Amino acid sequence: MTESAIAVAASESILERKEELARAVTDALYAEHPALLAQHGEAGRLKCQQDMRYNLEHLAPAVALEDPALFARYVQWLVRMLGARGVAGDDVRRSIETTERVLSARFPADQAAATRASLRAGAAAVADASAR
Amino acid sequence: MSESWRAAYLAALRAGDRRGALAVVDAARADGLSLATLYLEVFQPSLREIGLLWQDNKISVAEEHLATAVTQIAMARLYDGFCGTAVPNGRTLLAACAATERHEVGLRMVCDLLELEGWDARYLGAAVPEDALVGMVLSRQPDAIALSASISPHLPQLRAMIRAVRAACGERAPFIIVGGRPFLEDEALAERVGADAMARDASEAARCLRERFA
Repeated sequence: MTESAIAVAASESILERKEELARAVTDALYAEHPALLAQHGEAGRLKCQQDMRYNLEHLAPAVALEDPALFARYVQWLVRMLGARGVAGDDVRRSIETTERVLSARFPADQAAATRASLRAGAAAVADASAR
Repeated sequence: MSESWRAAYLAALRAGDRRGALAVVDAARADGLSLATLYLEVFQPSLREIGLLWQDNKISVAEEHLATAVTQIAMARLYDGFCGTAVPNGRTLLAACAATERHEVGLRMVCDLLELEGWDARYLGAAVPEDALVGMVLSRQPDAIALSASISPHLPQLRAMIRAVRAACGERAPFIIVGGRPFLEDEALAERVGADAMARDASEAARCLRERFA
């Protein structure tokens, strides 16, 4: 497969497996940071899983179009939106880094690699958005 | 002059006051504001402000949707006033939103502005299947197609729509113009999805098509 065919396949897998991936990222976040449950409660956990679905929906086109900046701009928008709702930029960055780990563990190596540039651009964009 | 109308209209939207918003529109028309000015200098900036207010958690998503609905009512009311007044110029446009896009006001503005200049502009709404769009392009042979996507998850479908039109029409494909938030932030994106041009807002889209088909 060519690189762009791999990218398209990775993007399609993200959307097809969105529910499974969103749950896996949320579980990992809460396992690593039990304080989140105390802070946001069970409703916060469901909200988190919903946010992870949105993240994946926005990651998919950046991967398919091989355009990491597309995901980075979404993250900048997201940090401002969530910041106004009491979610710290650090939590957004962690969720993206955790997404990278989940995809590395669950996707074939070539597809996971095709998602990496977008995820890293997204994580880096948190700092830019927070600095504003 | 449009600034005070904009402030009054935005205040009515924030209050969720449909009658108040329509009263502002009627008063602005009576004061001599053109339809294009109302669209571009009152509605468009007001809705962008409403979007930012939602992003900043100052209004709820329900209030945001209400503001959009009120503006669509205002546009329909204005449309009633000018419908049929323009001399047809023989140009045709098909307009559609990609996927399940719900931010459709901008594209409706493009259609109304061009109709005012004599175009036959047909707005197909959202969720038009690719083959249905292609079918209509082949049967109507429009001069141009305008497609809109406001969030990046809709871009792959938009690209697929453009590919399908180009595959079906070959060299006789209509001029394809795209718009929406992702395009504002990346000049090269329109070309990557296969479009001929990009517009930053409804007035730029109308200007681009007017000049292209002068």
